[in-house]
Amino acid sequence: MNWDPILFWVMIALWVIMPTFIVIEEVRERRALAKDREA
Amino acid sequence: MISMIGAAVGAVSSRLIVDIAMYFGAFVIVAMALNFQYGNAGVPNMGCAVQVIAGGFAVSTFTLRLTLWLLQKAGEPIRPYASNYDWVYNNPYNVQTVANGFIQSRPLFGISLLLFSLAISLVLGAAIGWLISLPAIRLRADYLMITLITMADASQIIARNWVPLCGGTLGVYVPNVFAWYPGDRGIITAVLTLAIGLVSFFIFRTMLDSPYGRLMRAIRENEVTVGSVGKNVTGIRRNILVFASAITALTGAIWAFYFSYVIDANYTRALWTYWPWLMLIMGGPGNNAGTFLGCALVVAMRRVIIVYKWFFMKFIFFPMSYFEQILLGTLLIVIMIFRPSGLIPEKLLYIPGVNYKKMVREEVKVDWRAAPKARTGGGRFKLWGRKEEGGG
Repeated sequence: MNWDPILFWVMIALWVIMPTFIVIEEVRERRALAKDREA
Repeated sequence: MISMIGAAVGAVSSRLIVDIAMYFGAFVIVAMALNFQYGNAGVPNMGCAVQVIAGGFAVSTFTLRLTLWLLQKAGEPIRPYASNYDWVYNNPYNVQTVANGFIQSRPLFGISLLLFSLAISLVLGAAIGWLISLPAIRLRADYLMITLITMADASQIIARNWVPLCGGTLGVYVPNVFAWYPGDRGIITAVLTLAIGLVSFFIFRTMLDSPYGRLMRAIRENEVTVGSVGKNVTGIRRNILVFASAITALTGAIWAFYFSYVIDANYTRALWTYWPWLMLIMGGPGNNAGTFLGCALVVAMRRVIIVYKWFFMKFIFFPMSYFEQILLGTLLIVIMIFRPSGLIPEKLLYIPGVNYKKMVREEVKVDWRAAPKARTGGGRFKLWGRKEEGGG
């Protein structure tokens, strides 16, 4: 069985998880900070 | 004909993607460790190369010797490797023919060697981190930077001239621990690198979110104040250097397996110190988002320039080999002029219930003992679990 295509997509998934997680976290924290500032 | 061209372009593109992923994974570990040291703790580590090279040495010195010794015990026809001459000139036969052939039919042996290499590189990296911290850690930022940069250079000179370490100027092959895998070794190495990058990211994130992370930031802002309230600033800085060094050394080990070869030229100061610094400065020190963005931009640009240099050659009037350095150097200057705190500047540390603006005006009293609990209340790894708990 050729595992290369499967590993390729696993690689892409791993590649995408980190930035997605960071972006979501950044947006949430920046929003929360802005909310605090308004309050 | 068209389908052949399409297939060729597809192969080049997927190869380029694997290449970029591998480089991104390797550099993001180093850049995150650098962000941990400089961005958060204010330790200007210009000696990242010495930490990476420790991982490479771990593979070429310990893993390779262990493999050859085990194969000898297993009765494989290993040629002598004790003297410097034999170590270098019998290396291609011992590794390429005997060791890789042995691993090809024994996946567990390959995986064991990989795990052993990662473990030994962690230990060696930590030891190197501790060693370089001994003379340097009490120095102020500028002198610390200079001392670490000379250590990085010294490590490369030692590697080039001390043959038992990694074969001197000729280098040595290291066993292909993925020889049992029938497909592309690059993809499986890239997957491993990105997985280690992901785990490192969570480790750094957990540490930076903890009270220890806030202490690191306090040291960065004013170490005299932190020292005056009884914290051991030198000890904390040493711990940071040792910890980051251990993680950085993993990259060196993976790098050795990616090329199946260890030579000092693969661990230059420019590659493993200046490029990670450029990534950090470009993205913005002090936050992971900036580190990631800087790393992704620099790695993608570098790989595209290197792979498609024949295309860019048509548009430039100077030698192509300078293009990469000129472009990225210009970019760095532009960013330093127009966005000195990076593309994504560091934001205020968000702790639910703490409002810094009001604190500065002394309008609110903060229960600092409760703040860390509020921060970690929803479970640290729970992506959607964090609640914004009211403004202070």
